[in-house]
Amino acid sequence: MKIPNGGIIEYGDSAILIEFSKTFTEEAWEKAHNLAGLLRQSKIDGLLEIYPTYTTVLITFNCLITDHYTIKTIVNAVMEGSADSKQLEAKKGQYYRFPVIFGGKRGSDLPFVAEHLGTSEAEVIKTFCSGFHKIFTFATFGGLLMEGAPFAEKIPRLKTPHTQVPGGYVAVAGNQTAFVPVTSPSGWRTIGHCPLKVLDLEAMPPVQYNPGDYIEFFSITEEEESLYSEKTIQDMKVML
Amino acid sequence: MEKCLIVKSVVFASVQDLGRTGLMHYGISSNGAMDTYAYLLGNELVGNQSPQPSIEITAFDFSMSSTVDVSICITGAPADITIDALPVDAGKSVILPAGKLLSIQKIRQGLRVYVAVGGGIEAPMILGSCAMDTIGRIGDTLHKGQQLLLKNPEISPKPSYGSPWNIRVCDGCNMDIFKDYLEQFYQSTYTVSPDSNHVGIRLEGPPIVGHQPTEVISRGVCVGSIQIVPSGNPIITFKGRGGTAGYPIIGVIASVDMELAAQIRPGDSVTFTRISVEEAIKKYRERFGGLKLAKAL
Repeated sequence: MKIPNGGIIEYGDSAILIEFSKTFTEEAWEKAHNLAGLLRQSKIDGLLEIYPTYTTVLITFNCLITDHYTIKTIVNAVMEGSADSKQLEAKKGQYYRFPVIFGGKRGSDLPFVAEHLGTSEAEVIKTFCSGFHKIFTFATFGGLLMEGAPFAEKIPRLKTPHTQVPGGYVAVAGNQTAFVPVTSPSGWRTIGHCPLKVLDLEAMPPVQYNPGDYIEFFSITEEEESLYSEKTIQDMKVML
Repeated sequence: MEKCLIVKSVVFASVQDLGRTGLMHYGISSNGAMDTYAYLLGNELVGNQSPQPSIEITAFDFSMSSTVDVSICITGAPADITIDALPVDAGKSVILPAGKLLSIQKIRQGLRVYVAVGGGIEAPMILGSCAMDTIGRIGDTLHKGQQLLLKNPEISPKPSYGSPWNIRVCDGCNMDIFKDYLEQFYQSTYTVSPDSNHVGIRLEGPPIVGHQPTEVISRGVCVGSIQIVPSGNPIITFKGRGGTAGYPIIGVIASVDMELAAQIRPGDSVTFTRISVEEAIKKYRERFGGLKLAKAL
């Protein structure tokens, strides 16, 4: 694997960002997650966090103990060591189906999304539920960012973020989809709510899904919510 | 008034530490606290970050007071321990209030009792130790009325709290987007919005507009990252932040000034000063390097 020129970016005094691409590509995503996996296997003094997302890996460190130069050297060595060989076995993704109550109070931005796309709310839901979304990265507290739905246009983020959206929300922005199990601020357009219990704070790790897995959403009514509120994601696994 | 302990009654006691090591080949023995475990335990329980000079009481009753409230811990042989006649447990950190009498009586089963003091006792260091050496005639036993100065714990100078705040910032990960906006950002004075918390500190001021793009692919966000949201206002993402965001980042607060960002109040004024990563790391190491607990970061 190689890091593109200018792909190691200083990010304050205690972090670097490794950027494989400025725009999203599956290849860059895969490289970022492979690099993160390799770094996680190495013992690196002062290293705090390794966080692969779409096309980047954020690496944070304690600058009392180490510095940018040391971390960059290690990253380059790890990258060179992995040249031409995929050191991580390509893990086969798991598939899940997530129920969602769309619109209304639980998806207050659905009307905006429909209006922006020049279509009906029902059409937005239909398109959104039309296939599996590949999980790209973890976000807010076990939340997920994944492939967007095949909408005709990108969905703009909010100009001023919501200060609090109830946990379990499903939201869209750009050509991405988010599922966030906890109540949190969000700059994304909330279109629905998923009642599944996905977090187990007594387990390590506290969530079962991972980047590289797939989720398909399906529409349920408010009345059907109780059917799913005690279900875990293991119950929603599908075999393809 | 001096911050000190005052010996009220004593037969045989002394100030001790771990003793002098590495000088045996000069014929100099270590000396120091006889019961190393009891000495270290007391220091640990009283919260000292390193073993500090403590009082070793041998065999006979002892009493003392302090001119200021001070935390102490008694270890070693069982004894009757009281503060102003009220019983006190051994092996627990307690406060000896200013002016009250600590009394240690009827030492039994063993011979020695230790009084560890929060921050330690100021004692002359000779050849690296305050331990009494009767052969080398270093140190002496304590006498009635003797004052033992308490160490002033080393506290780093207070940071410059208070509005208007000036906070140092290193370049963030989107400098290509903001290269024409840095002058504006670093010359502006911002006001802290009431809509701020541990997740994000929202700032209001001359909006930064016209930069492109206003959104990037979501990526990991460090503590102290200053995002410019589409309204043009900066948000300092803080420790409670979500892991990712897609607003471009103009800078990241220098680690050494993160404590200032943590303290700014709604309505306060804030300006920013740009510094290099090298300078930021140097300043951070100067400030945090002196804190032993910083190793736990």
